[in-house]
Amino acid sequence: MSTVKPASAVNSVSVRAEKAIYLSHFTPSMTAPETLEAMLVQREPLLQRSLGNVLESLRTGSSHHTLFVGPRGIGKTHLLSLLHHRLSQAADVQGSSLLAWMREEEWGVTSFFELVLRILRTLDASYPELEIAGRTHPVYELPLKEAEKLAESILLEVLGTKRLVVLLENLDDLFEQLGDQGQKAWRAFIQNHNNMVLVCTTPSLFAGVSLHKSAFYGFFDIEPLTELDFEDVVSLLSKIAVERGDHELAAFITTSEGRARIRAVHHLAEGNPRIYIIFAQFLSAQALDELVPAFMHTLDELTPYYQARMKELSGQQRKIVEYLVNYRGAAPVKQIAKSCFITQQTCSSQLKQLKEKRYVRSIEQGRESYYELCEPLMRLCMEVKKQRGEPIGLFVDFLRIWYTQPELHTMLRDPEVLRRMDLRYLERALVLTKDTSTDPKVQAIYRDLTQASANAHTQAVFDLIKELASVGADESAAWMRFGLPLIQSLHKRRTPVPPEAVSAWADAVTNLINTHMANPDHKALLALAAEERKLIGRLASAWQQMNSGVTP
Amino acid sequence: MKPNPGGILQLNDIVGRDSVVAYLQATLEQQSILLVAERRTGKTHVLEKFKATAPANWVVIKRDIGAIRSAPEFVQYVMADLYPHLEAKTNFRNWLQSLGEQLGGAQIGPVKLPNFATKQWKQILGDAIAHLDENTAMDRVVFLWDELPWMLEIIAKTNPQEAMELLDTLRALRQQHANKLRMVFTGSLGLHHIVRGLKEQGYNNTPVNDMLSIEVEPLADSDAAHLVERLFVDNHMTAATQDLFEETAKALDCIPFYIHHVVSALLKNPVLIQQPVDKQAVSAAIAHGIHSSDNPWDLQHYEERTLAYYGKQRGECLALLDAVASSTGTLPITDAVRRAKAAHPLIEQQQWIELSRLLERDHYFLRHANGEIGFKFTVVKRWWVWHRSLAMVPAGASQ
Repeated sequence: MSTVKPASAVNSVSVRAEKAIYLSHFTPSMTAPETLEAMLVQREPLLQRSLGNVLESLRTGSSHHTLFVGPRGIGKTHLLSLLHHRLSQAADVQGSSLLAWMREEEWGVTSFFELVLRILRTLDASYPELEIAGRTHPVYELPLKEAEKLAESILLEVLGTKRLVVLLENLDDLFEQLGDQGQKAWRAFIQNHNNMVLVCTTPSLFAGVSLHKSAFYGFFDIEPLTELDFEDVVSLLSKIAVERGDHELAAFITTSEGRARIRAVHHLAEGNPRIYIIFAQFLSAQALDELVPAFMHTLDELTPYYQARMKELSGQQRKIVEYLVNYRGAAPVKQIAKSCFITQQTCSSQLKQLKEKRYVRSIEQGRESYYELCEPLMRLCMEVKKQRGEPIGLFVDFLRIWYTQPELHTMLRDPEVLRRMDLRYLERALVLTKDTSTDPKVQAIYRDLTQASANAHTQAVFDLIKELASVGADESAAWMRFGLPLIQSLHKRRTPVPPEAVSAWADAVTNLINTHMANPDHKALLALAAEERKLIGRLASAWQQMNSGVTP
Repeated sequence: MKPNPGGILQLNDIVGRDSVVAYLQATLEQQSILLVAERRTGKTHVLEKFKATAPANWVVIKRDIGAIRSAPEFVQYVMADLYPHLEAKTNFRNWLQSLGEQLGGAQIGPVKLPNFATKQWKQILGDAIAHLDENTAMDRVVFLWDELPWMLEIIAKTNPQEAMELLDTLRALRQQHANKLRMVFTGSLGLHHIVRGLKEQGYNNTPVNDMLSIEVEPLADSDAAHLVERLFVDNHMTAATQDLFEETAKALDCIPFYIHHVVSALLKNPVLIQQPVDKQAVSAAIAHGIHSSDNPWDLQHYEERTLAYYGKQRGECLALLDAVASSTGTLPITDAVRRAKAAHPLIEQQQWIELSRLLERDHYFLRHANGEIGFKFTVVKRWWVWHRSLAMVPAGASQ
């Protein structure tokens, strides 16, 4: 097989040139800003735009409030951390504003008054020279109504002519705790003094900002954070490898084989950056023993959140969510309804509500709607909790995607690896790698080939088939399946069909016919679908008859 | 200017509001104003512009009072806002001292108020306003009270009597100080809904019948097109055709909030930064605003609120809205009623006409000079037709 990075790592356990960088997968705010900058993928235009909006607010006296929306782990904190970093570095910010970066853990705030106190405390930590703590002492001696007004007055006094940029996580939670009165008080403060610029995050849109009757309706510029696509993921993992000084791994990532493995991990992680950040640190064998505890730690931290979200649901809705957790993919309404023992009508209405609450999303395919969970981490949390001491399916999948069969064998023989890793994971992965018909790398490439050929992306089809070859799969079978759809979709778009696409497809069909004539049970033919195999069989016999001079 | 949907704009960026601001000023010479409009039409920006351009001898005090919880607290804020304009007057200072301990009250901004917790709020408010007459340099004192209905709603929840008294007190003050005092009430919630609630609890007065109701309308066509153009130019976007600005403005009912939203969405599309923006791209951005499951403009609200606004008449209300929405053009009210009657045959003609009037007041319908009615906002109409899966019927056809 290849002399790729993971195998070589197994053989050179003690030789490492990696930088000891700290990549907190759960709290990016604890990671060095330079590292976060280096690891930024896809989001630079968004970051630039948000930064530009804040700077314009500070420069002109307008107020542009931004709300980043995306599921857990999508990279909201990463973005906010970088925004804070860049704002702290901007010369024109320092004289004209104060920055209050509210940490995501600190919400015990049930009124606008408490929020003001929390902002003052945050500012005190960042700007000790303002001696804010001393000024707030009298607040605690007053009756509540007067204390509220004094706290606001102190904040105004601290700010003077400066403006306050508030960077705040989980606005949905905060709004819930503030209630209607607290939200209106906050809005009134902003409208009356126009000295506050908000940059906030939320895992999903919520009534407090999206409903017409809410105090903050239409107040924010909503910036949805999209999942990373495949090329983003390649770029992210490559950047992490470079950042760690692991140039060998960085080089491997760009090869067809590296891309094939990442493509399969990509389907496992569903575009969620937090999962990649965790995986990225364990792409070498000696760190594998830390993968399971690190991942479990992340999931442990998230579990109470998802459990609380499940409690918000009705019995039927929970049943649907649990079904989708187990199903691990997008399912049509009919199938969900049948599996949950409810009518299609009820199921549709429950799914509509779940969609509004951002638990599920729908994918339209023809006249049918497929539903899947919005947050991959939710599925993983619930799945892992059900394992009860058994090897976690996700890690087994990861091992079998990232390591080849010989590499896994080498690891199984390495006492150093075995000392640090649960043997059952390696054994289970090895058993699965032997079942080539369900190789996740091949499955992932096939899924992307379906898209690429239907969208007439010729170069992508060539690249993907090259990836297939790099993981030992048969190229001809792929050309047989996707060559014709590619040519047809090019025709439909009135795009010239590249001759190399036609010849690759024709060569593949010819190869398969020849293979069939030599050995109808050849492994390459088994990779074909039944209909394709039949077709090749018919073509082969027609060919043989033509060669023998018999008219079919 | 960057697109800024929902944020606060700097004065130079508030486009096309000069005429309504001038109208406000001319009206306030004579009387107080009830400023009404749908949410996000730009009321607050109109007030900001008015405040910034008011005559030098006018004192304009603007405050969002939406979170105030009681009449005494409201009076505290009025006192704090008046203080800078009266503090130099000896009689005012003496009066303040006579109220109580100077150090005992709340601090609002830089102003430390006396402790008048035990005094009658109505009396204090009346006395404070009376001191305005001492300052002859002030020709008009205008209070711009944003979100007044929210404040009244909060007060009425625990003390409806106090909410009624506050409305009556403010009316009485306007009468007593008609030569100098002016008020502008505005808010996200219609004041008539609050008054209607109070009437159900025994309130019989008409607290704002001395105020002129002025509606903040969408921008004029040319101003809206200019706003689109300016947002394009300032953000380095080019239009594929010259009429794109007018068409975009028109498709968005010339409402600045939607215009900012759509330009912001276009700007976020990396493809459109490199190539001219065409009608197709604009239509896609507008369609996303109207049809997306994210529901960024919460157009659902227009259906949901009929439950609270029309109660038992909701069925008829929806039928009439469906009838007008499904018409390709405007239609005579008799035709609209005829179409709606198919679902509710027992409703009297007069009730339909009254319902149509209420729908006009609540910004659903617009009645044209020829007497025909149509949806006021095409954005709402498009959403209504799509959401309720209505089949379109030519205006003259029978259904």
